[in-house]
Amino acid sequence: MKRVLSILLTVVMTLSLLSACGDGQKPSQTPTQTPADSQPSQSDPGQSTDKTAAEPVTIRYYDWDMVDSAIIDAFMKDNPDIVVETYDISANSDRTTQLDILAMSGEVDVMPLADGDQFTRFEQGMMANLDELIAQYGLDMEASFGDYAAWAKMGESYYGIPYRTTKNALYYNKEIFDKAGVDYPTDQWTLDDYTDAAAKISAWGKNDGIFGTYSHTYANEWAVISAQAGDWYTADGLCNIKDSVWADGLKRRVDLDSQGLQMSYSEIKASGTVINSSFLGGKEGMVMAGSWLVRDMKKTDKFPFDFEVGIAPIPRLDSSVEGRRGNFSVSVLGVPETCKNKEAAFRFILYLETQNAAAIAATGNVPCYIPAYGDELIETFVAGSSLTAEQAEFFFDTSVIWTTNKILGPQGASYMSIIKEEVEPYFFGEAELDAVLDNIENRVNEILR
Amino acid sequence: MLRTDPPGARRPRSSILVREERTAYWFLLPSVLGTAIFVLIPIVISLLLGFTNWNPMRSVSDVSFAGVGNFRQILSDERVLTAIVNNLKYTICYVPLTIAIALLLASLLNKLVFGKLPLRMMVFMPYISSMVSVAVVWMILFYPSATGPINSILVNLFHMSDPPKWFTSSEYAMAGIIIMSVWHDMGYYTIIILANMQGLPAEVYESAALDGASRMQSFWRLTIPMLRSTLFLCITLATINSFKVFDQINIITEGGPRYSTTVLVQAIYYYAFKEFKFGYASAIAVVLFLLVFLVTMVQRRIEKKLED
Repeated sequence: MKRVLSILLTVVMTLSLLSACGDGQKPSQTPTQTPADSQPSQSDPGQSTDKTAAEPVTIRYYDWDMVDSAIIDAFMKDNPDIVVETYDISANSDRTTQLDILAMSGEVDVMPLADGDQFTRFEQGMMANLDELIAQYGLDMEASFGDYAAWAKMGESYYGIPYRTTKNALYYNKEIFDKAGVDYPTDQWTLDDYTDAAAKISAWGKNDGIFGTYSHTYANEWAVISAQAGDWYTADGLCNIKDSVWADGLKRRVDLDSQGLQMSYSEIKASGTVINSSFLGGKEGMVMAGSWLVRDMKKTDKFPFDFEVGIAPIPRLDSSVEGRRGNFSVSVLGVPETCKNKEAAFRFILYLETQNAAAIAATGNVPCYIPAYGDELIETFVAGSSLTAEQAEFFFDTSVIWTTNKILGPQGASYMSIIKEEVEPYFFGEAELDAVLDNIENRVNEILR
Repeated sequence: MLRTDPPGARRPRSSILVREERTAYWFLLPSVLGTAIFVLIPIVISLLLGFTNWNPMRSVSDVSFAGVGNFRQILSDERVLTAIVNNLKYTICYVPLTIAIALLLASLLNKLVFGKLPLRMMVFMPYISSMVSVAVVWMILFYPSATGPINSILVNLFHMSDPPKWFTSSEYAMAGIIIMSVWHDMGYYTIIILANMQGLPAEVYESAALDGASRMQSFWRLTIPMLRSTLFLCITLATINSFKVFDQINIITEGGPRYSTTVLVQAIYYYAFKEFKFGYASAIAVVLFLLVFLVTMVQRRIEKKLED
């Protein structure tokens, strides 16, 4: 009897040990909750048609900026053979790593890739080649996405579909400009005008802790203006960081910090300051930020502000640079190689991007699907943000010359990551610029050769 | 007549003993199984992976044998070499400081008559607090400008003209991390030491007092020797934990500025999840395992020597 009991106990303990370690739960991300239902959205089985006599396939869509759940529901209604589960992930700095881990383990079917990170994932073989599906569904990438298409491509193949674009502009606080007696930025503004205005505002707001401008600590944020004239690679494809354009860009950031025209790099790092709460909190006169600031301007409960915001192009590097200038980057939606229902995932992406540009714009993001561009889309984009449609036209203006501070060439993501690591001691005032540039050049060339 | 067994001969065991042993093995089975599945097998796999080039983004068929290439690469990898030095720096400062403060606190708490419970709770509270919240609090305390709480003290009380920039300085970032970690973990070791201190026989102290021993003499000559095994346990645990440090560094400095706070677990994380080099990350994990193993063995040797 004792033996039977002990064996029974052992079996129970072993099973409970194994079951406790088992994967009975979904990943830690919370599924997006629709107002009516806290469970992941699912199609009504009662609406199944003949087409879906077989069991519907389930795809899992992860994003940090989810569209209205009604869009997902509508897709499932139109496509009863596909169930879409949506997972809202936090938009923190680790989001890419979180998604990578989930994608590696086959937990993700549709995921966004942003800020040039997509190219590393394409190179690493993480994302599925979509050429066949693009051809099968007759998607004209050039007509649909124009210049954005390059951000979804490696070689001649597509590994993603352009989804949202971040368009940088110069946002300014009209109230601060008025009080400081500084003229509003114009289309003709150069870097010198920008620095002068920052100096005047800082002098005016010194006692109230108001800075002239703000530059965040994102990778290559210091290069937004330099990107108008610089090239990241030499003619023979090596690191070109020693080009005076980039060196001046780095120096400029340190100068603005040391002259007290903006919050210093080390203070931003130490305090965890972010652009949206800082600018909308009235802490600086102007800021070069992405179009996502429009999204945050809509969230008045989270970022309350009561001043008028103006929008201007990014200042030109100098008078030799022509045209209205902007900075941009593109995020894509991709299907991981581990996805078991690639076609279903692709159909969902196609639906989301080509039929729902307005829904994307409603979140305060600029969609990449160019045929949808028009006054109505701009109105939707700007609705609820306190900006006017005329102001928001800038983000959709094809006459603006858009350059990017991201590195899109070979080993671009690693190149950017090396720069970020190496420039930090310089921004903290601990290293000489020449030594920093040497380090970057050596490390980047090592991976490029 | 007394029955004697020839030397080396095994005495037949009674059937009760055999049955009891078998039952004991059955009861041990779940733990052994758990340890094998979740500890031993991963260690072996990690060791094997250290000899391969494996990108988890690609198919398993793309795994290639790298020989000792990954281990050789470690020798010239600035990130990993700096991480090893940083790990040793961290351990050398963190372990003695934590244990010394824990011992001091335990002694004080042991002598207290009033307010024992709330004070014990206060000491233990940081340990049960989330590392994220603790890190945020210390980031505020160590704010790099002269207006930061700690820097204000340094400037106003100690007239320091150029206070440290703490987490944004290569020179002071690791010091800040160590101070924060000591504060966070000391409560745990305090409780362990205190629990053992309370079990020490009072008559030994009474005899020592009768012989004219002072409090300090009792502490150094009675308390410390009697707590030796507890202290060694604490030192071993603190050492192992110090080599595993990651959370606070990842939250506060992400290993920077440059590599000044990069530790081995950080390097493993970087190569595995940022560069997707699982083979190389596994090789670093093996180095970490060997380091911890070596240090623990040395500690055990010292403990044994002292016992002898």
